[in-house]
Amino acid sequence: MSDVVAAVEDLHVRFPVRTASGKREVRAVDGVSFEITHGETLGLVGESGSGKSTTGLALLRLVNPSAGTVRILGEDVTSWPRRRLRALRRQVAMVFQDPQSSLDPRHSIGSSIEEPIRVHRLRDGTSARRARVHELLEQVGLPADAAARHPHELSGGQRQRVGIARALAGEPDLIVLDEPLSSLDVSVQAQIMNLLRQLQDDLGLTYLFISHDLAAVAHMSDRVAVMTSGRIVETGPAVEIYEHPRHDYTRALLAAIPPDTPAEARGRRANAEHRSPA
Amino acid sequence: MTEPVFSVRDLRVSVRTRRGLASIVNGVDLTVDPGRTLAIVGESGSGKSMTMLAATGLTPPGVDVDGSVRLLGTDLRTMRDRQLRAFRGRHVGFVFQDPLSSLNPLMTVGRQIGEAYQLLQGRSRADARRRSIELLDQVGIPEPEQRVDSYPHHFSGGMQQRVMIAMALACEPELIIADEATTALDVTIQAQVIDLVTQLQAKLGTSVIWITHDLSVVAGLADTVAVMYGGRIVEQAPVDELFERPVHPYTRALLAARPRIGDRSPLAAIPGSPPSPLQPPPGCAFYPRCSVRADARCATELPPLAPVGPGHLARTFYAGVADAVPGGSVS
Repeated sequence: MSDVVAAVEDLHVRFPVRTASGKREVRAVDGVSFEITHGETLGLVGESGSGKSTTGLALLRLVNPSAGTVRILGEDVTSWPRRRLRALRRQVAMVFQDPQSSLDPRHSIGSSIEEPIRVHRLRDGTSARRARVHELLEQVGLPADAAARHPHELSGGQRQRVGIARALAGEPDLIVLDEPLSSLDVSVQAQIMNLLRQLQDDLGLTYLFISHDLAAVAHMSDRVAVMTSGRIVETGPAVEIYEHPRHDYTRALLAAIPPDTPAEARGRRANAEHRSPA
Repeated sequence: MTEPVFSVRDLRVSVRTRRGLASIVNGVDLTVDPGRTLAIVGESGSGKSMTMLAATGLTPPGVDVDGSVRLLGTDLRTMRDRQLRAFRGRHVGFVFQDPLSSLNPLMTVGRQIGEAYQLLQGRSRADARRRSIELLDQVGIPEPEQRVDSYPHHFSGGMQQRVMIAMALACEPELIIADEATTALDVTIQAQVIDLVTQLQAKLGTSVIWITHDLSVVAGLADTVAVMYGGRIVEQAPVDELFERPVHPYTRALLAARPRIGDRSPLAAIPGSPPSPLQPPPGCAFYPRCSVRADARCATELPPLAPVGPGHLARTFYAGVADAVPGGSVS
């Protein structure tokens, strides 16, 4: 048995847009292929408009591919009828950038986490579902009494923990993490990265980690795919990509990482002047 | 000794909310020397943005501001509104996070860039247009003669931020205040905008206050860094000193928590989340999250901002036992 969880082949997503000069098409994703194996993290890194988020959405059919295939555990989900999408969205879960807007403000934390358990009939009976909610809260490092609270009573970091618990609730085969750190305070980002890695080790999770933050992607990912203009220009082990980038775009992206220390900043400036004696 | 361009003394800002009085800034002192860059680093709720808005008289109604602020030797806090607007417009340029919400979508970028120049310096419309073209060129926008008549939506996010910088420079201000100016930009564009600002600064001798949540962007651009937490400066130092010998447990923890490329071991995460301005902790604001807690007074007494090295101040009782591990873990 193959341990490939997700296999994307020649994926295209095109959106029609109207402009002053008439209708045209935007190729958000323009022929993307990759595989993610069980228990690994594939990092998808790119800038805004690169198509990285659209690629993530296509895995759940939250946008419909224009061409190509997406296989989850070997099954081509691009041809699945609407009624099977609910099952797909149990198999592939998503954690969004801003937990504030992805959680329903009127629902308690407990009922938000319980929803996928109920919808997908993963536990029978109220008490079994509650027990599962408490187990999930504990796994993401929230106190049991958080179940009765509402999103506005939590900090940003705690809300993102709820977003992760909700994603875990469906017992998914793959979790798409779309910029899960971007809306968090810097002092909280490391907590969430540690939590995601810990959960992966404990539960054998498989991640697609989508981010513009190269250092975070390097930290989180086994392999990295660099995306720009709807295409993947380079894929490889994280260390390999960062130490020996082959594509010009990857090099430009790496060069733009802010220096770690003032000394490194000066070194880079001296280097730049050396290379272009203007 | 040179006269500072900008100085703030004991600035305090509070806001009345339905849930009580929120003290957002609790006594901040800042000084910016000519041609230098001061970076103010803090997370959301640290008071970093409110400090600058209050100091420059840009707070909305309902916000109480106290303290003294001098720009080029003139006291801003005693000025009348009209006078303040003109003085600020002439001497301070602002660059905010989101250029699209700061630019008027119905006005060409040329008119927007030249507007202050025309109004505040009494120039003609033709002069203002020439100045706009010159500024667009200076911030690296290609074909400035054509682009001067374009509207903001014709520009990409990075180019819009260049337009904002051109606008900030129009009246040749002595001070530029950049508040999260690169936060909404892609990393490659961020690097370009930082380069542009540092180059222009070297050329024009402008002072810069760079406000950011991201400690890593300041390494390459600041002379001095002030770290804010819970409405106060908790550490201030020359940039090298801050990165090499951070003293405050918060600064040390922030530096240690950064992911490093090539190292996938668990990060030294800081537990908890930043304090609420509605319920500030009684002692050191970082106490509830601190792994050091070096002194019995930490929980109950506010540490003073005291010298710990050359030009280096820290608001902690821990300073006396600092062991200077660069970016090392504090545990």
